[in-house]
Amino acid sequence: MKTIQLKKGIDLYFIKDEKFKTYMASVIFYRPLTRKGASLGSLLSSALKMGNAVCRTNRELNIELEKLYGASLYCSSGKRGEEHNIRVAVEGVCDEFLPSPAFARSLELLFAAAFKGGVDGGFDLDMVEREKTNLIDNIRNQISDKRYYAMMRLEEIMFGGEGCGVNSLGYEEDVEKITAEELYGYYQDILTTSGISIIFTGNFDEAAAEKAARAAVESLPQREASHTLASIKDEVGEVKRVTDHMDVTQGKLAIGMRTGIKPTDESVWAQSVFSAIYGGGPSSKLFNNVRERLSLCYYASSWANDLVGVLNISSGIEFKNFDPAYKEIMAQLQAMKDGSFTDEEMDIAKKEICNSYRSRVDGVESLEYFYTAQILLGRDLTIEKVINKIESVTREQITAVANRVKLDTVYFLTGKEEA
Amino acid sequence: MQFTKKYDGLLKDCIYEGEHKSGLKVIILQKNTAKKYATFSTCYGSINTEFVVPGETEVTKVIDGVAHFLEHKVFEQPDGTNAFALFKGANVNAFTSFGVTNYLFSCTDYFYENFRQLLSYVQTPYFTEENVEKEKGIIAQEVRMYDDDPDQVCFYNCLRGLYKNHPVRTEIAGSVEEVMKTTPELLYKCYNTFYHPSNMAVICVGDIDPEKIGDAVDELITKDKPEGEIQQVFPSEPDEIVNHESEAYFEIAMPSFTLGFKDVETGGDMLKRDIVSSALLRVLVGGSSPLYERLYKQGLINRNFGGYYEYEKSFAFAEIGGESNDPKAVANAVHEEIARVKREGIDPEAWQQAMNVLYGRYIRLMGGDVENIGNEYMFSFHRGVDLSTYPDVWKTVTIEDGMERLNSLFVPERSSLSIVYPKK
Repeated sequence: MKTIQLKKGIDLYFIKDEKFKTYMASVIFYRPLTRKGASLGSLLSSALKMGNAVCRTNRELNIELEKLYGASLYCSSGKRGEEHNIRVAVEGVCDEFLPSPAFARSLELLFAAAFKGGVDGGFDLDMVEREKTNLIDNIRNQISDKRYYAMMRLEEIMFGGEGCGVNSLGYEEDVEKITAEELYGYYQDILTTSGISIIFTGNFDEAAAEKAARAAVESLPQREASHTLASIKDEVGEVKRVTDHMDVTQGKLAIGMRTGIKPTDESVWAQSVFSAIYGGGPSSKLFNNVRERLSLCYYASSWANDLVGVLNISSGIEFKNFDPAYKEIMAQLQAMKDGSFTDEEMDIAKKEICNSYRSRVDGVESLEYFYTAQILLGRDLTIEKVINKIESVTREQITAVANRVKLDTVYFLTGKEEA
Repeated sequence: MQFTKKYDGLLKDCIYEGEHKSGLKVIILQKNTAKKYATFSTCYGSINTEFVVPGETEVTKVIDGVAHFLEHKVFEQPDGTNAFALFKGANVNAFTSFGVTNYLFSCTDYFYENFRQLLSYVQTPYFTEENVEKEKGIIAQEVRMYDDDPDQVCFYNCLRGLYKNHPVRTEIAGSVEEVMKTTPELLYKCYNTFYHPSNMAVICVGDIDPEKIGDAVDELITKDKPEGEIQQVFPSEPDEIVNHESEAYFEIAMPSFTLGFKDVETGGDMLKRDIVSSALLRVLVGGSSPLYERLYKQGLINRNFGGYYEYEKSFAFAEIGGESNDPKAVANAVHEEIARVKREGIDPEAWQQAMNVLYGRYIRLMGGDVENIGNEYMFSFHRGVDLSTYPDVWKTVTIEDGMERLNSLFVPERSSLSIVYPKK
């Protein structure tokens, strides 16, 4: 990865590999995550697709993208730990594979959407009201995917809606109050105070990319910007146990545990291996016991959220099977704490993780995601270095991680009639 | 076994194709990637519930969901272990669609070792009363998971509105009731019929040596060509649909809908029909269409609105769907727009843009993730379509083809609207 500081607080990154037939160019605005900012950021990411200085309407923008052989423009608002990221990105085919060139124009569209959003110095009132309605619909409709909903509820209960527990989609009552003027003010604030990363990934012309990026930020002021790392809690109080009732046919079990391990701690690598052995894939303890041995579910898995020091577990089960499933999940955790896993299980888990890291070099999005995580954490790791770290994890380190795991929250989404 | 080598001048990649003495087709798409992907698939999916076993004359009819049940059980090894455990550093999986069952893995290292495991385990069925019984609980939970998925239910209700007899109207995994009736004998019967190499294909994508693949196939596939051919049988399906509207209720916050159009033209030049239909759907309901802009401004649709075309040899349909607080108003507007374009003709600029998008999509697919490439290639192969001919076929498509398709596919009498509403 090559880094060029365009201005204080505005950096340009190149992750170039000529083997790609495509490129991705992203503008990421970063700032600390707040509850209010989540709603504003979500609404802003919708508004940025609805018109700017170059394409005045969403339809104009879509027509321009189609002319570029279906280049995609993405606008999103999300979180990484306690950092809020508003991302505008364009993805397209390299000029050498197209009947007529598209790269230069796609960058114009990207930078217009990111830096010149709104029409005639503001956001249209009707547009903002419509996007508010759409956003509120989306917030309410998080209930439609029950597995996702259970994880969302788990996070809500575990973090109490604070810090990294803020729902990055936003909150209905906050969205309702936002005015077009306030939203435009928030956008101007982001443009002038948030940190900005501009990242090119894949196969692209570096000189053309740098020139376009420089021109795009020319009128923006320099700024003080730093990345936000989540505070990691080691302590847990009394275990929180919540059950919701809904008219569903399958129960969803979601469990949250704290490891207290910071993403910059060396034990974060052992945490990855631990989670892979415990509930990572079809070779894991949860798959082979909760699913294969006891036939309790179709899926039972765990994954570590390194940025916040949390281990999540998720499974879909019959309502009546809560007790046996929960008991088995805990029994397998105890086995990990006792160090009762084989060298083979450890070896399989490491190979799985390394394979997944090595595979990242094939995708523009996965490459960008890997490197932006390194930028966030302020470290200079390559995929090969990460693989070395995973490979050198020892049995003792894994057991040590297992023994740091503390149960925090147990959430169960069950049927209406269930006790 | 021998391969013929083709150079794809557009993508600047090589394709190797060969046929093993057993009748197994082997295709290798060479790509400059770190990840390598292999699939071992059979032309047998959820819709193949009626067939004639080679050498027999009578039609065999089986319950729904057997192809999917088999997909689970093929992993079971005679020593009681799971085939997952045979692989090193790989993502191992399998899936069943309407028309195929696919066993797959991807990895960056140990590819050839893993490839041998793939060929071996898929050819080692081991079904007992006990291990079939054990799987029922797992599959029942999988079915229940889909039962709670409003989008799935909306989709299948639409298909049940379009198809009277064709098994595409049934969920791929079947119902819990049928899953419970599955027996080892039934699994063996379907396995022995459809898992013959002559009904299967090996498709690999990545930085792969064709010779090593050929050697592994020669060594591990020992069957010869079969005596007779498998005959797939489908119940006769009328052009007419079953119902124009259906409803279901879920714990959701916003209604969602699927408007399906039954395509009565099947088989033949499917790739061309796919390209024409997909371009048409963009012209009618895509993000740059006048209809999209109007409905969006009226607050009748959100960003999830769109359409796609799906086909196998024996069926095809177009679907337009999304979320709306008034799905019926959206469906009416779609019908009106179709009528308008039939009257006024397709806007040539919009057509050209739609065709451009399809071209760009193809390059993005073929230059993207090896698993996506392999899966699309594999689906196409079992439909009798060579995906590498896409740019050539694309060139032959005209706006007149679009107009013809508009009249043959988008017929209001052959449409069905499925809606899922929030429970009150």
